[in-house]
Amino acid sequence: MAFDLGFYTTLVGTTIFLSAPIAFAFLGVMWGELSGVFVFGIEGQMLLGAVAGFLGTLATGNIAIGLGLGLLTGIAIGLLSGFFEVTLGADQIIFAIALLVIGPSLSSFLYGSYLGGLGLSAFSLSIKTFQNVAIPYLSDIPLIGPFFNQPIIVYLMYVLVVLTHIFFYRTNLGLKIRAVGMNPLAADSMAVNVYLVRYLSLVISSVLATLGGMTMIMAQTGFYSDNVTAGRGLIAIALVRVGNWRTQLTFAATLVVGLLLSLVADLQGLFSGGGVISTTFPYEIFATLPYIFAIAVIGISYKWTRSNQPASIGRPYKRD
Amino acid sequence: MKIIQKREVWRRRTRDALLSTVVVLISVLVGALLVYGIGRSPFEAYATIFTSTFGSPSGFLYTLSQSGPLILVSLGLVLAFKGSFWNGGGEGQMLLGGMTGVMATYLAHLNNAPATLFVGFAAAFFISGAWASISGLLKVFFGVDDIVSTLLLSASAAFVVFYLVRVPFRAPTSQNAAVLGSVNVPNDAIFPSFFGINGVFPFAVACSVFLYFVLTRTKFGFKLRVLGNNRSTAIAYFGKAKANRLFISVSFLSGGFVGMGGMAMVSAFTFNIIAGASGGAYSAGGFTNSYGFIGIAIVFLAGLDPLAVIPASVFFVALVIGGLGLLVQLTIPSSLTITISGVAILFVSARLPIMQRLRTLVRRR
Repeated sequence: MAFDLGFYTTLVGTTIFLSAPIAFAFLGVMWGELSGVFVFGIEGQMLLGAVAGFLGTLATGNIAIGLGLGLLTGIAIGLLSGFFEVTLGADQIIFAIALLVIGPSLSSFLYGSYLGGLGLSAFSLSIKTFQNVAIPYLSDIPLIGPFFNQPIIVYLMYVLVVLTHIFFYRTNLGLKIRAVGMNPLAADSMAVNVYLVRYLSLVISSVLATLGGMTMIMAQTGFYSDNVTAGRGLIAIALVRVGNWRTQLTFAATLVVGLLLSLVADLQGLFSGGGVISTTFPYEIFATLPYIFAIAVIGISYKWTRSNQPASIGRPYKRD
Repeated sequence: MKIIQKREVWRRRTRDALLSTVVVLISVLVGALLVYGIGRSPFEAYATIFTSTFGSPSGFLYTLSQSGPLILVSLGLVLAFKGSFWNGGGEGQMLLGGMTGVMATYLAHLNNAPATLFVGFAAAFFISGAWASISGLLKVFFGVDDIVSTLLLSASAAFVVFYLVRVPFRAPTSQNAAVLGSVNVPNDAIFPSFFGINGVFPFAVACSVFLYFVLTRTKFGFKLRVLGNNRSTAIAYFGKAKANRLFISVSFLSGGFVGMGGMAMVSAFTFNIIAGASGGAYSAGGFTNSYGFIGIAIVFLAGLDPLAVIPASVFFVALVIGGLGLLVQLTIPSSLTITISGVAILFVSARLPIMQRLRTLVRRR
């Protein structure tokens, strides 16, 4: 691990690459939570999107159909959460826990029965992943070059982060959505349709989550395994709190976690491969770093910042 | 007056039980649709689940025994939700409890079965309770959402357990790099069976009766209910410091009971801890069967009542065990049964609003 330019380029490249799924997930969390609905079940949505995208691609051999299927799954889950959390007014935390249970088990069930139907064992199936596309000129700039030598889905992530930020903090419609999150009664009296806004936000949130799950498979692993998202959705929930519901801060925190994750990959390889220290070294500590980072920053920031948490979050709105 | 009140309570209880049964039936129906969707026969699947759990007397007793750990986990979650502590980290606390139990009984060398068991359960209670009370402390002093911190700490606990299995407590025979096994608990720490039923079931039932009395008949239970119903009322009644202390002790006790569930699982059924190499949030351990989440379904189906937890746990354990039969006999993935409990949680989340709607419908008529 020599600290030269080549190492730097790889590290930055890997960091962006690994933060892409988390970035999609945090955008999903923001869309839902700024409209006043808890989105703790994002991990389950990611897994369902991942398995739908993977099986769709595998069955048809066309990655576009797989993507479409994953996004349709996202829309379906979004409508389901809208029905439960907006129309019925269900308890949002219990609903999220239901997604956390259904996501891993249902995706494992679908994958397992698909394999069983073919009579194959796990790990024998994989799909072609997106290849890196270098943007001419931009990717040659020394320090920020690695940002522009990425799979196409990562560029989509950049665009969505910027668009979401502009939408929420620079447009009238975004202000209305945040108003629904802050005080639905006041928003309703200003002729904003609270139910419609929350439905739309939940559908977009869920689509973004499934996109994050599909990024894990289509740009990174190329194959599906149980719990392929490995806690990325949980980290995204925490990161939105770290970033105090601000897009730019949350994206910065996401990059920090991406950096931690890529260092974890390096360090684990170094310490577990019989390298520097013997194999008894507790390299698992590196894997817990993103979680500890998130908890620590949330705890510290509580004391000296005003929380930007949407005031009506967790309370279903009921028009009397 | 008192008789009318009692009748009202009973009416509410039967209504709750009826609604819970309907929820369970709907989720079983969704499971049948899933089985039908992959082109298999739902009747065959449910017949397999039934015969592999309640089909024979020994199978029935085994299912009852297996429900012991789940009852303990659910009791921990009952405590948590009664005191408005959103414990979403039951998985991690259970893992940690099981691991602590293995370590404590392995290191204790007591040569005395009751003492070894006591040491194991007490250690599991304290370590898991301490782990959960981190979330309580963070909530009280740093304003961190308890559900966020319990989920994150649960994921971290998996890595801690993975390290403990990989280095200090690995079984000498376990050389396979993909899946590692920890040392077995000593023979003294294996929960004894009586007449074909394992002791953890009576133990768990005794715990739930005990908890029922604590929650309904003692001052502590009353304080807990006040805290759970309305935090600001609790602060007004007891003062902020006392309410905070109560919240932290709720988180400790909740984690403790969940940890005892993990220890019960290890000492009665698995005897050691398996850690998978993928190291994801839920992959280490492998013995928790998502009980930390299924427990949440049970707790709300049982209406936060420690006694009603028992039949609900038996039902869900039958689903989990039946899922294994499903995999072995029909090669239908066993995760189907976890999905069924997930669907139950889904409908439980909308329980209160559905009740209200039904009530207004009835009143209108």
